[in-house]
Amino acid sequence: MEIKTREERDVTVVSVTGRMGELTAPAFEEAMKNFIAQGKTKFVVDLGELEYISSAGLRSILAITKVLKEKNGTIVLTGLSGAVREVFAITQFISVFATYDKPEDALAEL
Amino acid sequence: MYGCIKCPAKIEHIERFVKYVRTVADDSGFSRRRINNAELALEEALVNICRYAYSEGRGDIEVACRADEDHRLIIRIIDCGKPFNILTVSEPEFTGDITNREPGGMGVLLIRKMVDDITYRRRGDKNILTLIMSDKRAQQMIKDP
Repeated sequence: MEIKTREERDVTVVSVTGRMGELTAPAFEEAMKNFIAQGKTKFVVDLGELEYISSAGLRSILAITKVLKEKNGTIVLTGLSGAVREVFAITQFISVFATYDKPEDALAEL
Repeated sequence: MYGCIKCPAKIEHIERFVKYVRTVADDSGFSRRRINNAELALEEALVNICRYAYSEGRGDIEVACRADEDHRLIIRIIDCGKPFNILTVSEPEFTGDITNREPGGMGVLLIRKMVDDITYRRRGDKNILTLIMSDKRAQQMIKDP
């Protein structure tokens, strides 16, 4: 798993590539918590290049969503497709997150 | 023949089992999507064993994977931990605020949705979980070798 970030205005775009499973999901959660500790509260998490996600990955995203909710922050997801979209659909996570095709689409709305 | 592999029931060993099953599925002609499904079902099943099967925290997991004559992938997972039949686990409730949702049950739900069939047997001190999945691409290879 690789995490890349860029800043767009007051929004942090976090792009996650590779695999988000039991071993790697904690690194995503830690990275996000570090951004939040730096005072960032608006996130676009782009999963367009993510190949694989397990329930551990969903739990990490859920944990971050809870932290952001307490800080009145925002998290939206972009690029859900293939196997990753399938996991979000089965667990019905897809219906509770704002999702967009591309980060640019999300940025236009935030 | 691909035999089987056996490792201590630790999270850090999951990737070894995943790579082994990926190799068998790939050699059997499974599509990228169905291999991803197999990896997910396997990871979720192994995480359950690593977390809950062994109260002393020590024990092994054995995984044997093969394709049968119908080009179905048969993944057999054996542990000697506490009896645990995932077929009796109820599905998580999808009501209310997501941030209040309990994460438990999601793994078992994903296993059920990723594979075509699941069997569970308790034989002696062993849990024997078998995941069975088919793939159109692999079955097409039987017709058009």
